[in-house]
Amino acid sequence: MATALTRSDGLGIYHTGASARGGTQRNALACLGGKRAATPMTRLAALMRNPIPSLLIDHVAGANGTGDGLIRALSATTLAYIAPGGAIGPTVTINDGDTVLLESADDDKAIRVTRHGSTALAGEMTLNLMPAFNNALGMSNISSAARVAGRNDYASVMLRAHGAGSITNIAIWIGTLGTTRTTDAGQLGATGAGTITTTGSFADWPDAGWAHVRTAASATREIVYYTSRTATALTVPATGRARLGTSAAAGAADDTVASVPGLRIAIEAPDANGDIQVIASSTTAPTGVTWSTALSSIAGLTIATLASGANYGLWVHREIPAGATVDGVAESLIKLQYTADAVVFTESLPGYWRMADDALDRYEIFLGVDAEPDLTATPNGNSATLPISAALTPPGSGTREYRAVVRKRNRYNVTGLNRYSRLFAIDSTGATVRPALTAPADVSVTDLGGGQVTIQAKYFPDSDTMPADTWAIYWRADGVNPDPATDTPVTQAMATSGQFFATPGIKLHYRLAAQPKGADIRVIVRARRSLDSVESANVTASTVTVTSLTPGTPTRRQAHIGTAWSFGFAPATISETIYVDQSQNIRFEMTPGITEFWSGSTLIFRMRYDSAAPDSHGFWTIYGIDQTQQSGTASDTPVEVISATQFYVTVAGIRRMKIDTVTGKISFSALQQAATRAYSTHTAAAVAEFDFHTLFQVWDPATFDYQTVAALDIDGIFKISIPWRQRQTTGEFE
Amino acid sequence: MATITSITKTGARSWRYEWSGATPFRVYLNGELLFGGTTTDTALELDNASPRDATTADPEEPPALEVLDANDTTDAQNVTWTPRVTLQWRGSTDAHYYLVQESVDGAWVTRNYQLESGRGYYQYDSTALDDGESNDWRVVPYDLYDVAGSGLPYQFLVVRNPAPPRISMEYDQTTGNLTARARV
Repeated sequence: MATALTRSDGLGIYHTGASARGGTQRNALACLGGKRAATPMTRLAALMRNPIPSLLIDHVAGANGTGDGLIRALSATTLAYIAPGGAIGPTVTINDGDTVLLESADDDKAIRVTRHGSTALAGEMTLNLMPAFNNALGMSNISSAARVAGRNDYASVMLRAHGAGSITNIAIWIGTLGTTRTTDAGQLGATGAGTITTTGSFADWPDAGWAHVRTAASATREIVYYTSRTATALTVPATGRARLGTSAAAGAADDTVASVPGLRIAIEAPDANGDIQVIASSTTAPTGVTWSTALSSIAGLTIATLASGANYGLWVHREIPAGATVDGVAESLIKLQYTADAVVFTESLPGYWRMADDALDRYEIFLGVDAEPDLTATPNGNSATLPISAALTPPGSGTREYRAVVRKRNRYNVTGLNRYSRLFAIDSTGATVRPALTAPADVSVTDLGGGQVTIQAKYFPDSDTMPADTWAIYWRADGVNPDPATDTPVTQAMATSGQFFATPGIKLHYRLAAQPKGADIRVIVRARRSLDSVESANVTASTVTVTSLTPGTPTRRQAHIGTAWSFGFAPATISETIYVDQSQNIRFEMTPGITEFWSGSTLIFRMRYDSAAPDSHGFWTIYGIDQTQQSGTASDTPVEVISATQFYVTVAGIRRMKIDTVTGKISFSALQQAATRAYSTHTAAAVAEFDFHTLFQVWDPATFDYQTVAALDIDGIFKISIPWRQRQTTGEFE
Repeated sequence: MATITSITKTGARSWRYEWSGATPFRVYLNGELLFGGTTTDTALELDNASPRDATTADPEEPPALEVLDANDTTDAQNVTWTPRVTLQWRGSTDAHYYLVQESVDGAWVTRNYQLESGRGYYQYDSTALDDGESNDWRVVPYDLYDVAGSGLPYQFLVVRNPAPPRISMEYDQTTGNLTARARV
């Protein structure tokens, strides 16, 4: 068994700032020295996607790097580890209660795990290893104000030989973030702003950051901060000179330049109690320490021996020069080398942080002239708030089209990805050019009965040079013609699926919500172009009067013979099978008081409702609730069949409930016990769409009418007026 | 980078995208790879109902799709600036189930429910979260009798590609200015 706290795991790195030696101190931003905490510094975080249940990951070495690692159970009691991009390491036996070290083929790359439980190990456990923002090395994010003014931050961690063995030959240095180059194409002068250029490439360097210039003999010449770069040049402002304790000095052609984090480091021997000095705040420098910016183990800080149980402080200074460049993902990196159990190990300590620029938190407008705008170019205008404007220059003659996009950028210099443009055409006088639209043809309004009114129309896009893409439906139900100048239309995109064969036209088929009997419906249908909001100019209304409304069924029937006798009645009944997909035998079965949803021989749910016997009410199912909102465009049916085991219930054409019999889940946004009376409909259907709800219905044998017992709304909230009754088996259904 | 050649509205909340470039393509939205691999599709229809809140999705602005092609060697911005967060926790032997809750306007709103199944580690993958939000979440364990234990708090900042702004644009031919305003 590879023993925990040996080999690469022999050197622990812990938070400082504990109130008692070895106490808990989980706040990475409170590592201000003093006593060692029991909390280890996070080097890499591990996301376990398919855990082996009994394994607990105690520690992940930074040397593993990022990516997917793998723990493989080779038998009921043995494991092996494969680091990201690595090869499998030695087999390790682990029993219940054991803590072991798992090494990949490269033994720098290791993890420490504990087993809790005696269930036989099996399978593979993927560890998605990723760096951490704002760990002890990443420190706090930098606000815009601190970025402008400049800032110094300090933090400390404690090295500790936390195993039984000593750790020797410890070396600590600053890691590099890009390929080191020679400054053979241009150097900085003795002072002031300038550029550093190379015949090599800075392409893998951060867009802005620190550069460590060294002589040909590897002596530090100067550390500078560059605010921008190209593939071959670093731009250094005057404030970027002489950083991290160095002095400005003219460069030489044979200098090298390394990409480094804005860090320097120092070590502090602990006192007799194993403590180091405490700083008052994260911006207070520790005293009496010697800072290092070394870039190699040879030149780095060294600790000869750390005996078992001994501590040693490691201080980090992060320096932000005034006017530094915004950075959404800034990296810090320290490297260590040490000897444990006669083997030399190398470790990485990464940390990430962000630096804001509030001036970038703004809207930007991009214009394209007779073309889509170039969204990588400098915007034509920007503003922290809306509205935002840009001038359109008229053409010398003819017409010019401008296409405009407005994007949002945030304070970390991350911009939106939207690229949908709006079109504006102007002539040589600057006047708007808006090609007119032809009016829709064959507009009709039809009373379908039952309060249902449908509106139909056709539009021929080939008739217009800039065709419409939207229906604008103006309607009123009070006997007054709608006025497009003042009324707000219902808009509906002209769906390509609405094209009808053999003509280039597009059809509208729009159904109004149920209307009361006698309603005088007046409708104007116009074609609209969303690019410039131009509509056809037609104002003639089409009309219809609603003449019928399906009434609810009367109840409490009786028939009498004189005053002495009355008739007995066989109860009215139904027995209907409503197929959703007949080829797969997916169907609703409606019998008195019961509506069931079946896929083949699988009963998916049963709804029971009998107003004379409420004890049996319920939404009976064996599947569990998963409160996850569903989305996506659906087919134009209330129930969409994906397969014999997967279905969606849709609302207004959007998927809002998912039923998956394989995972055993019914997914929707939320379950709400609520009356559904307001949405009740007498429609003879198991599932019906009504007023942006999809209704679930049961035929009530007491009233001989359909009763809505559940309703899925546009937000995916499933409102049920009957109890949710989940059971282990369908045999337990009532 | 693939070039999106057209975006066409095809329904109340649906849009058709077409693009060109070197196959295969990778198509991202809201931090998710919608499809990729060897696909050579050059068109897609989707609605702009964000998983977080479909009812407030903008019917006038299509979702901001990101399409990469075979020549792209860098990560998608949807990956670098993902709007999705995974909460992970180690299960407790005394727990029967866990509620994953988000703090919304000072109140805890349950986003997810997971039974303690003995699998060791548990995760909750959030929907796409808003840019610049400082998020407070917690995982609360409950026992068999629905008695809650102490919640495990999570706090993080989401930095992502900002959502398309909800705007309308107007051109004033007297001033010659095109102005974008916030749309209510």
